Amino acid sequence: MTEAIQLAEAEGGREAPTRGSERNRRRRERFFAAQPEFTIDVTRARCLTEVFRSTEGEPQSVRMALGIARTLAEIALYVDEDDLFAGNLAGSVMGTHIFPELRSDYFTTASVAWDELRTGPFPVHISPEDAAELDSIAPYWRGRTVEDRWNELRPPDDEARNGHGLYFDYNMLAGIGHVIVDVERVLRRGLAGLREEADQRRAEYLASTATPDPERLAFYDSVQISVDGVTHHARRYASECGRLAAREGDAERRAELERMAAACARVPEHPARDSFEALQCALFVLDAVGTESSQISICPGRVDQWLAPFVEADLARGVSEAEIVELLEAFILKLAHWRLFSGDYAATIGGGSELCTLTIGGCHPDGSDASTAVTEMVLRAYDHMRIAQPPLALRGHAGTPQGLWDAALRCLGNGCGMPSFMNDEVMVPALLELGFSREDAYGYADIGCVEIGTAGTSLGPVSIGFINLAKCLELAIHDGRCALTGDQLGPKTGTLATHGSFERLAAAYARQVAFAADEFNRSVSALERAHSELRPAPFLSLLTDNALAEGRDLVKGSSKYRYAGLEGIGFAEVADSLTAVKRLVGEEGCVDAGELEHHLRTDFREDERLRLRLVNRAPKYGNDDKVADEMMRWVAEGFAREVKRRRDYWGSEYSPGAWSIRLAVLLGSLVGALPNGRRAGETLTEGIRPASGCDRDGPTSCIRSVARIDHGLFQNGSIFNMSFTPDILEGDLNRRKFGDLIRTFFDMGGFQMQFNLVDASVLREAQADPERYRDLIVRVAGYCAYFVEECPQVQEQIIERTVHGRV
Amino acid sequence: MSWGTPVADPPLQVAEGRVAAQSFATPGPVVDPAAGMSASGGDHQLRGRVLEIQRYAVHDGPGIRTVVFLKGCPLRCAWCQNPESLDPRPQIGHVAAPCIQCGACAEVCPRGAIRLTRERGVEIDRAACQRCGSCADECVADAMRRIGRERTVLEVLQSVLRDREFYDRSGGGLTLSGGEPFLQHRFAAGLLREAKRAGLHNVVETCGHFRWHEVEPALRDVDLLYFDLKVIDDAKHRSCTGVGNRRILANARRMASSETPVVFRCPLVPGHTATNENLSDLIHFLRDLGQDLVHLLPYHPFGEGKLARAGSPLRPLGLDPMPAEVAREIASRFEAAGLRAVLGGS
Repeated sequence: MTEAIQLAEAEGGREAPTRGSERNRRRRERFFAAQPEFTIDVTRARCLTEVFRSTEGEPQSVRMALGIARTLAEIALYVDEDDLFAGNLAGSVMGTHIFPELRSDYFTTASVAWDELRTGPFPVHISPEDAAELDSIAPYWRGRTVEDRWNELRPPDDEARNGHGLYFDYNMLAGIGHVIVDVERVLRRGLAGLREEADQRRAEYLASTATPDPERLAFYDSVQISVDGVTHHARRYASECGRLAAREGDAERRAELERMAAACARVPEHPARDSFEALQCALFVLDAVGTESSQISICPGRVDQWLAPFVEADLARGVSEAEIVELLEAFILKLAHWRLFSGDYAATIGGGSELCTLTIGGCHPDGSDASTAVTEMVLRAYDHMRIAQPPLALRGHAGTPQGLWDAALRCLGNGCGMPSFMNDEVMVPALLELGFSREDAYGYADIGCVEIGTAGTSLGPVSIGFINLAKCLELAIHDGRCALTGDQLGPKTGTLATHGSFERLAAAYARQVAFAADEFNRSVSALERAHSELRPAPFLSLLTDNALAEGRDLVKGSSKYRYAGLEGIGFAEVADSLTAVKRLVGEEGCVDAGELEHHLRTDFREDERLRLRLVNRAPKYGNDDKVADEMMRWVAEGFAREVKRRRDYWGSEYSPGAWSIRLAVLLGSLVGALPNGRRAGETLTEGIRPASGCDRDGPTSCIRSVARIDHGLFQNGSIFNMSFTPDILEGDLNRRKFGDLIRTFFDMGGFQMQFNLVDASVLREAQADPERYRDLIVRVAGYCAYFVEECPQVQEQIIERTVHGRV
Repeated sequence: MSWGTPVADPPLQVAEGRVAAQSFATPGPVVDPAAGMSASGGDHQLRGRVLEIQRYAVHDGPGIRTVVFLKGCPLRCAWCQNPESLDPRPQIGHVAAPCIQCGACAEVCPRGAIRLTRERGVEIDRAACQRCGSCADECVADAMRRIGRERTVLEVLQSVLRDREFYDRSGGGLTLSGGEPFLQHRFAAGLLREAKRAGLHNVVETCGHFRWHEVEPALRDVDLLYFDLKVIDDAKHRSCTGVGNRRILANARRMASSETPVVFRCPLVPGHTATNENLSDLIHFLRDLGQDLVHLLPYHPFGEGKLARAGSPLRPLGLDPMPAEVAREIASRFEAAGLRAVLGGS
């Protein structure tokens, strides 16, 4: 008690709002104002097209490398007046690339209403000339894209299965992405060092064989071309910064520009020498990977590890902590400007979020805590910037210092919504199980939402798609037919009325899941093959173990580890529905199976009391109720074990995940009424949390329920999102108790937790007055987003989520 | 095969033609969360009237706690935050929001005490209602609810022990509150004793209006007692709470000199307890008891929304929440008199 009271007394108010450096704060303000500056940059599309046109018949890897190198040579240079670092994803403040080699029809005036996009909630700009140029580029690619090749290879019913929401397998049409870029490799050796290794490998290979494989030689060529392209890009920025410095009247700014010019002349070609060069190098490398491969979830990984030696040396030289924090602020601001244009998928995949996730904390293989001087500085930078992107994950373990928990919770409670929390005690053994070496397992980091990887070890198809488990249950109820259209989607496994026993319903459901997973695997493997044939990634290969040694590109399956992340959606709906049938149709006999089937088909329109009985009179997952929770465990673990049995095109094991980004809304809209009382078309539950409004017994109860699941089976991450009113984190004492909540979840074997700190009235106000709430951050899935930019259904879903905490 | 059946079960039983409803039933294993608990406790079967069990309470003692609210209170404080706890008997409450006005409750009521009209929705004739709960059993919308239930010490303890991992991690435990928990002193004593035997940290929140000799034996199982002090002037106390305070103050004195750690808590209600005069009296009284610590609980009107539900005789005070700066000013008065004042308690 005394400790509690002392803490209560010692606590001050909240930390003052944004206290970043003047410049970063200005840059942040302009970031919010600059949303309309999200612009399509056509340089990549043009350069790639020119190169491909003129190199027909050449090896694909060389063509790709030449195309990217030309892009980096021609793309406009953009240095913002408040930039501390040079480099940019594309040629304007929030510019984004077009990837015509993936799909030829997502960027043409025939398929995109540019005028409408300009005025939408997430405005996208393109000049009429650029739009016309894209139109002229598209025809070349028709029949040559990854999508076209996939259409030749994939099962004929695949499109229908996607259209009915049985699964969603289009993820990789936006590129593979989803990778922890091995920044450290470049910091230590420089691209020149890596190029040297490539040259040496090539020479060794030539010396070892009389009949060299031309494809392998082409791969070495492509790596060299890539390195030269990226290096040249940095040199262009060196001269640009030098030019700007020469014209600059303000002495302080001139010094900054000169520092940028000097760093760009040095990195990423040569090893970095201090924190500034290290971060500048990381940005160039991330930009290059984003330009080459994909812009989705290109992550810098454990920044508090790779940056630490530089920061420690800088601090020893007399650089202040505040200066380092300022650099980190500028670094995350740069990544906040990454934007993705995904055409007609924008509404489902996301309005442009990039998810260049940073990871901090964790432990070493000997179990000791791995946090460094940089760890808390990263939290401070986020606290100052309070910006929704890039996401930040904190790896917790048994020995995470109390001070780090406190700092993380302060950052979270101050309104930044980050970090999310991951548990080493669960993920490290899970990765060992997947075949990771001890060092690599302990080196894991968060990719994008909650996917897992280790720098420089894998190709990273960790987000290849989603299986809609709620739809599988619908098929198990209606003899394999879609309840909304009547179309036969899955095998005929009987109807609810004819199953005759709960076990038969459960078995029918399991069969539908197996069917969906089989079909998904066939289709996705075809897409992977299309990537493998058409879309090499020489620069990313250079940064990944084994590629140089084997002389093969990543997409040819050269990486050290290969696994394919596949997510389930609708766990809670399926579990609660099965429990409701078991309890009300079976044990209590108060609902007739045939009648229930009828009312599900008619969406409960004729019997609201039946619906309410299903909602209120059967146990629900999330209330520490053994029966309901065991059912959830069966659903979740069954899914995980089922998908793990399959191997994809590269022979990779599937790595199950439980998260859903915005797809819970899209896929929910395609699912009919379910026996948990959910009406047709309503959104599904994201991740492994209980269904909205169903956890009514407080957070400890909910946590106990969620922790019953074996989280170690979900090597691709599982999201447990809880909403709280912010007052739950006010004051040291409340924060300490909140931290204990997370740590107990971890003690029980939970993997991940993240939080929404909002109250419903604020969200309602934000709906009414979006302008005023532009910077209001909410959790959507594994990442934060701006509430006012979300579609109305997602907004409602966020509001409806059970708000814990006591008033 | 990756999927077993959800639960281990007898062989499938499939009926021909029409479904045999019974065959859907497959009960899962039931594990007693309090397994390993002392089985010798003679108090396990004691019954008490419990309003509610609230988990993850963070304002009712150290660490993460579970609060057990017992039903019934001898006081009728005008500002009561928990009006559903006042009546010692189980009650029936109606919540308007989820009600679909299907009329099932009115149909099933054996006393005809429920009326459904288009204009006013569901109305309960409280005089006719015999609190049998048939209406709540019938209400699938969860609008008609039982307020409070009889439970045994064992049942309550099993609920409380579910969060043991959270208590262990945070230094929390059980908080017994109400109503006035000592109104059911035998049940309270039994629960506290069994909780202590299970190794829990026990906090009790009391209004102080109890017979000392009835409560004293339970105090050895109390790790911390929160004792409410409202108004020092006897007549004023009676007008605010419906009872005089002589017994309360006498118990406060005894408690202060007992072995049991006690913290006095004062609700700050504008115009009632937070008057100039009463604040001086409180400071004087606490100093007289040799106290050096006080919890101050600023008034908020959240409880008043619950008044109508249970047909409470209390009326909303209609006050605004106490502004933080006013609360801080009051706290500084206590501080000036040498009392450490914690706003909002722990």
